[in-house]
Amino acid sequence: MRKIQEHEDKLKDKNRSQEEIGTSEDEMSKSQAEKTLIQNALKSDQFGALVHHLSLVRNKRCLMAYVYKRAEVIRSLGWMVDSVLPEEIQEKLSTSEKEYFKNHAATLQSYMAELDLHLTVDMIPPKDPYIKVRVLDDIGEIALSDQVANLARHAIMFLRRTDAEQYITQGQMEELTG
Amino acid sequence: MDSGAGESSAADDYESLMSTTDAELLKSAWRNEKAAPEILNYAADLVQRSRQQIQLMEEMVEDYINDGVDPLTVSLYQIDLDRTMFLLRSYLRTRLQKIEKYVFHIQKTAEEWNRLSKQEQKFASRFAGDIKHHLDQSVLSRLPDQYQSHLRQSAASEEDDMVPEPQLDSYVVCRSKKYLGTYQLNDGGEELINIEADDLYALPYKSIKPLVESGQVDLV
Repeated sequence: MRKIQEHEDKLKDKNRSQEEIGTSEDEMSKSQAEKTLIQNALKSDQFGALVHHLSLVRNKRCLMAYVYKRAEVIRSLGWMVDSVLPEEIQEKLSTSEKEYFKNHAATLQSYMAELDLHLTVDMIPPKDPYIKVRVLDDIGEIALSDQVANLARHAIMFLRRTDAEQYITQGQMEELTG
Repeated sequence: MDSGAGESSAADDYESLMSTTDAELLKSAWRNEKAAPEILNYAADLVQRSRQQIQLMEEMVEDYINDGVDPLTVSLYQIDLDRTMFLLRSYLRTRLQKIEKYVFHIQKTAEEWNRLSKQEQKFASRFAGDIKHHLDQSVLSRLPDQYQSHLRQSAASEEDDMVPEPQLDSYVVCRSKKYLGTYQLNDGGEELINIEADDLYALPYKSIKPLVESGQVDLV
């Protein structure tokens, strides 16, 4: 926009200087032709500059929208998975995105530590304090909130909801509703 | 948690008593927060009291388990506890998600910045720094000099036009508890509506914003 202003100013100066010289008729018609030439050249410059600026701004908007939307999706993953992303997703992220995910997880952790409240559990309203789950992967012995359990594959057990949710979202357990 | 239920026989008294217990207050704060397009005031003392009550309940449940009280009663108390914890967590989560969506706008507007709690303000600053750094690294550092701001499209824009703002004229469904009489909808004084108690209205959020803030109208 500034360049366009400069071009317009140059045009005005040229016009003014032409009038001040006060030339004869012949020279007037010649300089008239020159003037229109210069004006057209300047106008195409102005239009060129405007088109360049507008397309730059549009590209910037598109790029930022793309990066921003990806960042949104990464954040929603962070709510489900906690702090480590599975391999198939990690290879689809750029380095900056991996760094952003780490930073975001750290920010969330610090907020939750200040509040002393775990915010990633309880994503759906609870219906029962305990739920029945079947273990899909071999996890081994884990100390849960009120028992020490051996989570072997294909075992069906009753777990506290807050404990089981973490494994369910990671796909290591499934809920039995039948 | 719902203490003092049904001590007096009249239904009105029961209603007003129920609506002032912390559980009900938390529920309505949660509902308002979920339905409103912008972030509302942080109910600091409500959250504080709820956490204290949750703490008490947890200790009580533990004592019951150790004493060997009827497991059915214990699980009932447990589920009540769980549901309250869910309300609290979901309330805080909804606020966080709104902050994430509109962080640059909230940082600019002092009124909205004051609606956040201190921890939320810290979170918002760190979050804004994170996302600015990410955008800078991926996109903005490769652009020519005049276009590198994350708030403006280019240095020639007159205002910060790349900041998303909450849509204040989106429609919300609301209900008032008492009869409020005639209320002027728009600033131009175009429409007057009668707000009756317990009637549902679908209105643009902007027109009832002051009523929501004073607590006279609840969003559904």
